[in-house]
Amino acid sequence: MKWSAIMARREEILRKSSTVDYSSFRRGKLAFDYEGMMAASGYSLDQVRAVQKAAHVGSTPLLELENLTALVRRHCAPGKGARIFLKDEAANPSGSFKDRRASLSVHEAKKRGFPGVAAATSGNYGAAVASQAAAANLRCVVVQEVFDSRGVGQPEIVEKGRKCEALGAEVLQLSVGPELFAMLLAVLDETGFFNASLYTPLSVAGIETLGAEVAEGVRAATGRDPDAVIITHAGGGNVTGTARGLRKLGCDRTKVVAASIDIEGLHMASDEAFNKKSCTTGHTGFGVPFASWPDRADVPLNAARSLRYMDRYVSVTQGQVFWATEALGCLEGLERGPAGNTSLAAALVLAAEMPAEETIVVQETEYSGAGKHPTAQLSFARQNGIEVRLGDPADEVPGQSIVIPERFEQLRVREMDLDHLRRSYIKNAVKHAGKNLAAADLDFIAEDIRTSREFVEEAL
Amino acid sequence: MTAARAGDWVEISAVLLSPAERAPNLPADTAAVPLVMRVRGWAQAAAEVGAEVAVRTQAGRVLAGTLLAVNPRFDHDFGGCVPELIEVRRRLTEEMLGGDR
Repeated sequence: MKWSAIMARREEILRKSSTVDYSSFRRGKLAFDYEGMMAASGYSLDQVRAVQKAAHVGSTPLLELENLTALVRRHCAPGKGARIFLKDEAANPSGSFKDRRASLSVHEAKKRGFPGVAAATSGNYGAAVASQAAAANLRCVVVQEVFDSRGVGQPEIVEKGRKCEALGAEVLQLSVGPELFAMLLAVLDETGFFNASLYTPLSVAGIETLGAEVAEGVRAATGRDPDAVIITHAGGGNVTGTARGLRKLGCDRTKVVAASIDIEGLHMASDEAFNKKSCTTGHTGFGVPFASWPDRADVPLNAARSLRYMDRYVSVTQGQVFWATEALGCLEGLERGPAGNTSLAAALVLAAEMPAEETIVVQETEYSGAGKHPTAQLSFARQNGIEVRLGDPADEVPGQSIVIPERFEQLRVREMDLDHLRRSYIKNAVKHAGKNLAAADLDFIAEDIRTSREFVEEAL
Repeated sequence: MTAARAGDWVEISAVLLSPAERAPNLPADTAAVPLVMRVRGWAQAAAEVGAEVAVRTQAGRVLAGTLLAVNPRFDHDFGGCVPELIEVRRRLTEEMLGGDR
């Protein structure tokens, strides 16, 4: 078996394992009818809610973090310190918001008579697909990138594999490399299963209920729309789906803020760098490339298009996320997995900038357990030669050190330049389609990265 | 256990892509090593650890590889104590519960 032989059949395998006719939405070299594609998934917000209710997904609690809000107010200017709310997505069946993404795909696979579902993911999404498939009496294969060439696995991913297995899935665990996608294709080809990709319209539509529930929950608690919703950003689905849900509920003035862990300098496909990351998702290694070119995913057209929706994008350090995880545990009595706390770490900084009468919502948590826990991940980091210490998180060097803040004042966010990401997107567009773009393509790009046609033409 | 009987729950490993068969444009460290899989399932025949064996997975697929372990264990855990986190906890709880509020 050769990588090139599988990839040569990519289009054919993807067509057979999907129910979306992607080619019918194309309007140019790059342009496609995004809203048309989303609408063609065939589920209104209320229908998604109904499917998810039947699958025991969603309607998770919205918790006000009064102690963390009080902590922020002790350290910020008078009159500042927005109320912090947390959507406790760990309450979903498999322990994360990813159940929302899996629910419609599995529902659709069942309806269309597929014998099973498959997904390539090293994250919580694997357990979500396994969980939904188990409940729907479908077979399931989860393909994971787990271990380096020494055979050493990230404890966080090993746990996610265990969970998939416990929920009845076959877990195909792979060593480091981008060929994960080709191996998924080989599985789809062999089994005839449905491709439960993270990047289909169904997956993104499944998250819209999260945005809608946040809007409803905050309105019920405060009588107003949320002022900011902060979303851990990796592949773009979480930002896209949540923002679309907020808009469907009319939250037009709510700021959509994306947050990733900064792992700048660590190569995503490097065998050696693999175990130097102390977080496996929610980081800039996914967040930046997927924002600046969404169509690098395991579907022909990616439904997760984060630049369309981001008002602001910030990064935090690994050390800050572990600090926030500790604070959530000892001050709020909530032990939740670290990765979902990326947005919490950023929210503590943002809340301090916002007026006290405003609200900021951290829109997810994830389950915690062996391997998926700060002590497991920091112990593993130490074993891999990473220095772990208290200090100023500004001194953290990804892959070399994790610096856990000593004082609240050391918490900060780094602003990610959205115009810089937009220019990277345009550079990628030229790489894929050349410089001579038709008007339809230019308009599409402007819409896709939320800018003007002039900005696009100037960058070209 | 160093041998599996047919029907035992086992873990196998196999090379899926040799370095020459891998994707282009990989970083040098990744390009130099094969893409390897590990999977768990029920052994289709008796085999010694280190020998070739086929397994049927929970999804019903039959895959072949080298037998790594019989009744494979999970040994990921909560890790050791991380004193830095204990210190964060001490400072936070002292600030919020201590005498100065």
